[in-house]
Amino acid sequence: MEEPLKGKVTLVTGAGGGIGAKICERFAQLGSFIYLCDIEETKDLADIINGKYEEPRSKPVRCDISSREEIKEMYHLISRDHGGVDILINNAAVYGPLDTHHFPQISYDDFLKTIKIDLSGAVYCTLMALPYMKGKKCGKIIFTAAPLSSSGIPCPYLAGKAGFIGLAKFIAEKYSKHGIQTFALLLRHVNTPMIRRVAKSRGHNVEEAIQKMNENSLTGRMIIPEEIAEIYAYFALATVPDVNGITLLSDGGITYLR
Amino acid sequence: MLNENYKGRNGIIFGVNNFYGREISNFLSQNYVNLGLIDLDAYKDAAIVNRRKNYENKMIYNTVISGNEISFQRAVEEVDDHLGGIDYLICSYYLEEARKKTDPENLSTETWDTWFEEWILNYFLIMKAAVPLMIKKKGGRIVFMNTTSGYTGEGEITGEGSIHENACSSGITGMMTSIARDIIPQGVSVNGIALGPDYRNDVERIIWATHLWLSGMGEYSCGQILKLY
Repeated sequence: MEEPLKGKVTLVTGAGGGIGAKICERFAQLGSFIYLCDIEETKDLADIINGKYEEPRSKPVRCDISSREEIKEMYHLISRDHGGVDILINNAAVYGPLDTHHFPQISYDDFLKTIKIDLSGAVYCTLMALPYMKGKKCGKIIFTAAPLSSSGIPCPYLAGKAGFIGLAKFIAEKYSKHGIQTFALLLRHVNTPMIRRVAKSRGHNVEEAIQKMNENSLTGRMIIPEEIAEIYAYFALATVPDVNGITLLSDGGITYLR
Repeated sequence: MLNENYKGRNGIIFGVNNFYGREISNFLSQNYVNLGLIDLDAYKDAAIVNRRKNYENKMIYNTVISGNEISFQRAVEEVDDHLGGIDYLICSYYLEEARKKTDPENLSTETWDTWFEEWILNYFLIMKAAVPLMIKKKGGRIVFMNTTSGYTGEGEITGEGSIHENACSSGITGMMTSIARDIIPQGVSVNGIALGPDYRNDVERIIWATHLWLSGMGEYSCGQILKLY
């Protein structure tokens, strides 16, 4: 099988989650070496990935991306072993407080904890990745983002995810001449364990809520993590220089067609 | 309500020391809105102080500590007590010119934390302090300000924009959109104005946009932003 990402190093944050794990598996399949960054242990995922290939294709890195110090340590490790990151996938996120969704009931502590992971964590990772990418005159930065519209998404989560839009566009403007390209996928509902936890926390019957979200999409279903991984792979493999600063709304038509 | 009479209304301007805050405080003062002026720094606009004798509105000034929830609550409560309620909240903080041009490679993660706190977190804190008082009064109008760079990704082309300005601008849009959805059923509207690259020469349009949102004319446009490209 062709491995077009052979020799490339990919860092995926939130690697252990529903979307992250599929991204890691897909990018490893394409030949990349993957750093599995997550606050939770991802050794099992690394074992699954590495078990499929003759040589190791992934390494778990336990890291709280809201911590500047832990991010620095992680990049120190990556720099030592591989020089740097060729592809950064800013995917990690927490949804925020599950018991309180509405403003102004959301506490400042909850807001801060959420946005430090959802936005600052990605900014830290991006700032640390840029010098190596610039030196190599190539690099891809991908953001798992959300649209600039609310469908009941709590404000700390949307503040973080929407922040990726400006971040992706700015990096594209500033660094396109250095061969660095960005892409943000704007997602609304994704068929993951997270959305089930959210539905449950809101007192909904989970299966009924899932069915309603499926029906709400004009496609009759939510996007699945494998599709997201495929879109990211397509961007990572793109050789067209002008594919940069792109934001792709992938919401089943909910935002504009409903 | 096409021509709301502002007289007797009360408003908070957060970020009154910056360009936009000053212009809006002048506009609202001229229209007899009682003002609570809040900023991170001591009030330094002598022009408004000097002109204040010509205005008939009440005015109170308060400083807050960045990222400190208690200081925001105290400042807003004091304004509420002094003015007798809050009808409007203007969130007008934005990044200074020098900060806009900071190269990402020269931006430490520590600096990101400071600037991010000054903008997104403090917007959250001023809203968190003021919105319950507006809900209690069963109504209020909020106008927040960010910049068009959050949508365009302006970088070296225009000389504007930076990693923090762009990320914070679009992040604020997301935050405010979500908040707008949460509080409009309780009578509090949230809309925004995104300043363009030439905003210093765009005062008339900025005032026009502010009046649109504060007067109630644009109230059916929930959670929207006028982008002044």
